[in-house]
Amino acid sequence: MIDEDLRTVLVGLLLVLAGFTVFQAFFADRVVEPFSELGILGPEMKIGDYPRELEVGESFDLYLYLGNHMGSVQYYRVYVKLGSRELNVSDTEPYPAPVLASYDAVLVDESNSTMPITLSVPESGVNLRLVFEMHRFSDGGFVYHERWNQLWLNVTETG
Amino acid sequence: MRCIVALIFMCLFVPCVFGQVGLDEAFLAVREAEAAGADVGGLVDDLNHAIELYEAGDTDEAGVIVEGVIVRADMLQVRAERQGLTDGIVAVLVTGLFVGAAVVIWLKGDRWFWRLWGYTKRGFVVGRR
Repeated sequence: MIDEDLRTVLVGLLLVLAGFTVFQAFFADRVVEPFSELGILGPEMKIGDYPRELEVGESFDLYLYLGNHMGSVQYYRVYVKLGSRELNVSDTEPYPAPVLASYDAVLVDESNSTMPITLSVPESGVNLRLVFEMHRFSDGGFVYHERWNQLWLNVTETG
Repeated sequence: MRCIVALIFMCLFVPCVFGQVGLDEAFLAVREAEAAGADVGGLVDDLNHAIELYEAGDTDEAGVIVEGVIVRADMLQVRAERQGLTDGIVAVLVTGLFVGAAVVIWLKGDRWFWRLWGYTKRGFVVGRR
């Protein structure tokens, strides 16, 4: 008689292969924890060397880093808003401040993009917040994706 | 005066709105194609190029690209859906094959094993001294 253990191993192996085939066919694309990335890099494309003291209307360069790990293609829009220290940023609601600029990018899953941006601040102030707010296209419009970054700026009138 | 203001407003903003709608529509087409299993990397590159053109004010060229993306996304979606159906059928067949083989081995393994053993070891005698 064939060894009982051998038969069990063979049958088990075949059932594992069958299960693997089903998993690959129907569940391989499932994403356990979808998330997006938003980062602001300095003018040297590194974390640091961010502008701190500026004059009104003075241009400065930054890099905007976006990453998509949502499990599907995403259409992102990053709004750059100018606020103040008194106006706090929320994780759930968009920042209620005027938009200075916006940047769009479409990213396939598991990809990222680093884009150069040039900004200038139109008004003076101390401890101004430059808020970068990530939105993504969903259900016919852009919705706040609850990801944000900020830079603190002191902006003086031009001499 | 109001008519002139309204006309200026329309001239300034209506093209932007139409452009944005085109991008939205193209993105949705790309997303559906991807959900069907298509490789949308090339379409996404074109969409980003169209976004750059919109931002640069070249709405005509951007519009052409966006329309092309929509058409190609629809084609890729149809092709991917067919491929997905084929893959699903193959997966079911392969699974059935594995399960069937497991059942057959479980039920008939003994007989087939010894028959094969006897065939390959013809003339082999056990225990003769």
